Amino acid sequence: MTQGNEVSAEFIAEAQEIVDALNRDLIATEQETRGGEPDPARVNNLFRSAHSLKGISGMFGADAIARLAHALENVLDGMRLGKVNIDAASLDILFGCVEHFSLLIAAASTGEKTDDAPLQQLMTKLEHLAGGEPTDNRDPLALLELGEDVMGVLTEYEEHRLRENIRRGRRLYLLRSAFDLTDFDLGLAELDNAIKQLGEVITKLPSSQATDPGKISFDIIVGSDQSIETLRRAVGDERTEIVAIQHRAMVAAPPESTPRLPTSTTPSEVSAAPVSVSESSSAASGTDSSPAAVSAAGSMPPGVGGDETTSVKSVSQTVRVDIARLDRLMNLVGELSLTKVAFQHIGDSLKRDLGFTGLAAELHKVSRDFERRLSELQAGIMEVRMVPLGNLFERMVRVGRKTGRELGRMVRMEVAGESTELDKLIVEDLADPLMHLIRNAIDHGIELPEERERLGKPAEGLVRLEAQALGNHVVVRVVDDGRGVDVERIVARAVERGLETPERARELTRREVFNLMFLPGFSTRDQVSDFSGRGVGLDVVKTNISELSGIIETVSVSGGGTTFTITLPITLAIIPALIVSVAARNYAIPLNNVQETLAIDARGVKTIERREVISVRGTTVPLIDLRRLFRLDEDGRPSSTYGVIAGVGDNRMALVVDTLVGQQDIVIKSLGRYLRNVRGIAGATELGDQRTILVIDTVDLLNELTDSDRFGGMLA
Amino acid sequence: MSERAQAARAVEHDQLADFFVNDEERELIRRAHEEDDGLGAPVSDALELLAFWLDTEEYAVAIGDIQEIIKVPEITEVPRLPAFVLGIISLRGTIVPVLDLAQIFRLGTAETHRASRILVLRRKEQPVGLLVERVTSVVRIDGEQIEPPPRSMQRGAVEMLQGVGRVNDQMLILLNVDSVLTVMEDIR
Repeated sequence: MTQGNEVSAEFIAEAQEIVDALNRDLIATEQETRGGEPDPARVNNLFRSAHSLKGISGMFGADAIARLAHALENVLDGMRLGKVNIDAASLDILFGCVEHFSLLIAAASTGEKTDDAPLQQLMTKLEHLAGGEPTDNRDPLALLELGEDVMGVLTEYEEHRLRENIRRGRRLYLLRSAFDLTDFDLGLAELDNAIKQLGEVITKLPSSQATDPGKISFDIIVGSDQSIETLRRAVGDERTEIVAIQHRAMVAAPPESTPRLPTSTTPSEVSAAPVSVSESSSAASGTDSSPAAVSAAGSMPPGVGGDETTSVKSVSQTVRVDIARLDRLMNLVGELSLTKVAFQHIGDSLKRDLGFTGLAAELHKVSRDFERRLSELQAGIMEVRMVPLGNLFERMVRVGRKTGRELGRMVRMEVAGESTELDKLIVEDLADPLMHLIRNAIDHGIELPEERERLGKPAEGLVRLEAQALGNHVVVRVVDDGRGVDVERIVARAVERGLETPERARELTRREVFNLMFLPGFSTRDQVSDFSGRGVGLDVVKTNISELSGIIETVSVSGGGTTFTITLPITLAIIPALIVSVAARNYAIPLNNVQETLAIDARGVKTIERREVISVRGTTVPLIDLRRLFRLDEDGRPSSTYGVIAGVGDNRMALVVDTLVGQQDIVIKSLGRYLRNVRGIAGATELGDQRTILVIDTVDLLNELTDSDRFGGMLA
Repeated sequence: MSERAQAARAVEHDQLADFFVNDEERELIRRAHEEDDGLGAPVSDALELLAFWLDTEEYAVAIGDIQEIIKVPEITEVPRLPAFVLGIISLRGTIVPVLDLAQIFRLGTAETHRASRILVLRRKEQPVGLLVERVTSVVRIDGEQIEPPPRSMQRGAVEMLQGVGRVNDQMLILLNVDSVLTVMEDIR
């Protein structure tokens, strides 16, 4: 690989990171605008992201991205300074930019050319927005009783925040506090935190009025709905002086009901800030489209300058590591644990031969120490592999928005539990199945707006993505409030496609019906749509999730929506497993999906439709006899056997084994290209004594069990 | 000896077993590879083969196809596969499937004894092991000395052969490794 390619790989990763951040903040901003005001800090973040993106793409010569980022930066600058409205229409354009950035970045990574037309369209829209009319054309700052020493040093952004606070009728306070020069940053942060609970810190200015040479004092301007007493109590420090800033327009401030209108009847005054505004009348409705010439570049000069350097630095605080390197480390840890076991064996035999004295005792101690450190190392590497699901969820929200728009559905995307962490590899492999499920939910679940209203549902459909950690598992759900699964139609289609006989079809349980949807070649849409009706949807989802040792379940209420629940192991790198013995052969069963183990009483085994089952606390669980399944010495079956109950919820089975040997952490190795498709086997692992044993794939066996219900013959 | 002590010995022992156990064999391969890469131009059209016994016949594969020769370690059975797949071994951490060549050629089932070896074939995707009864020698053979396989052989088997080579009074059945491994494709 050439040097140039490596540089560009770095750029791609970083650019994508910034675009993801943009997307995240946009989604949050959109949610906030529904309920009122977007968080100004967030809008400021958006602006900074666009600025950073412009900087790095300029540096790496990605011109299209740089141009779009520049135009976007201008609009966002306008937004953070209150010159451009933040509403559904403008946010839509911004989301369009995020999508287009992803496109451009993908193209840059493959070296493809992209169509310039959509970029131009976006640029035109952005320029139009940036040139749009400001919402408020008067400057209430001039009404504030603030000294010139303060007013003169405020940035444009801080002035804007001041105006916003005034517009919302908040009180303004000036706090003056002195700190020791040695640790003023700590004191300031503490004060900052205390105030943030009650209002917004608009600015923190080093004051010119410091008296003590060992101290530094700050002027802090705060906007808050609270009284001065509340503020004093919160600060709880008499060294901090708090005064209310008088504001001449306050008395006349109208109620909050018309927030976009001027707040007082006082005639317009000339703005002290360098904002050039159009001299339109008080009707600042925002629909008036007469564009005013606004220099929207703000305080940040365009182009590559010193500023860009710092922004690039700030986004690359983290180290990006190729997951393959972590895999190598993890493998090493695996090999080390083999060495560890060898040490223990030597220690044990020394102990037996020489007694627990001298060197034997020392070796024992050292190997204990080694063991502890090793498991810390293992935990550390595991932790590095873990990433929160947030990033993936944001991408999915984008997919949902886009799908909704293209299919004419109104869709509200909600996410919950996005900080839940999962192995990076699993997260990546989860993207496709999740995308399918979301498209499926919108295409098949969410009704058209008119239909929803007719049904008495809100016109806007809901698709919620949620994640939750449960022990060694993560549960991811895709929930929609659409029409639900039409059981009759699924059954009819399955019969029509020959996936089910009419006789059997009548007796299917709801769960069995839902399982039909995951069969290859099943699709209920007569009209093949671009989205999820290709008939390759859900079966691929199931396959992908099975490959991750995951299990998918469906719950659906007719007319009330559908929930897909995916249960995944936290990691596949190193997992706890139960070692069992069958016909003198050892196997590892990953504990991910093991619910319990129990001794099987031969008298308790019944047959239902020629399949052996046992009863576990009142529920019937099918038996899978590994001896029979693997065709191992059936005559040598011991008189007592054990059952390993594996599965999720009601979807489970009991694997019959001779004995339970013990529990051990294992690293699963693939059987390789030639044997990777052996059913029921996930791979192999090496135990401490250098013996290689097979790892049972419980999920695959469960799938096989379900299939054999339909096609017969797994155990025949 | 206790089970654990045995295991401890096994660790030490198996590490050696991973490598060539037999100096003679190691030397065979090393020399052959060396001459390949050496400055002395190889005899035109000459082929270097590793000869081995299977049942009552002597077979051979091209040296270039072989990664290494190992003593037979404990093979882990893999269920639900055709009988000619004996199972897997771990070769310094890499999983290697092991095939019984005797069963592929329908010569019965190979028995493992002291002289048995696994020829580890060098493959792009994953090494594959072939269990053979005894490794005999490295032979250099001219292309002209190779005859097409006799028609009397079973149809399936003919495709797995490159031909029959005659060296002095020796008759070697030359394997076409690629075709032999097509039996693995049916598994998937």
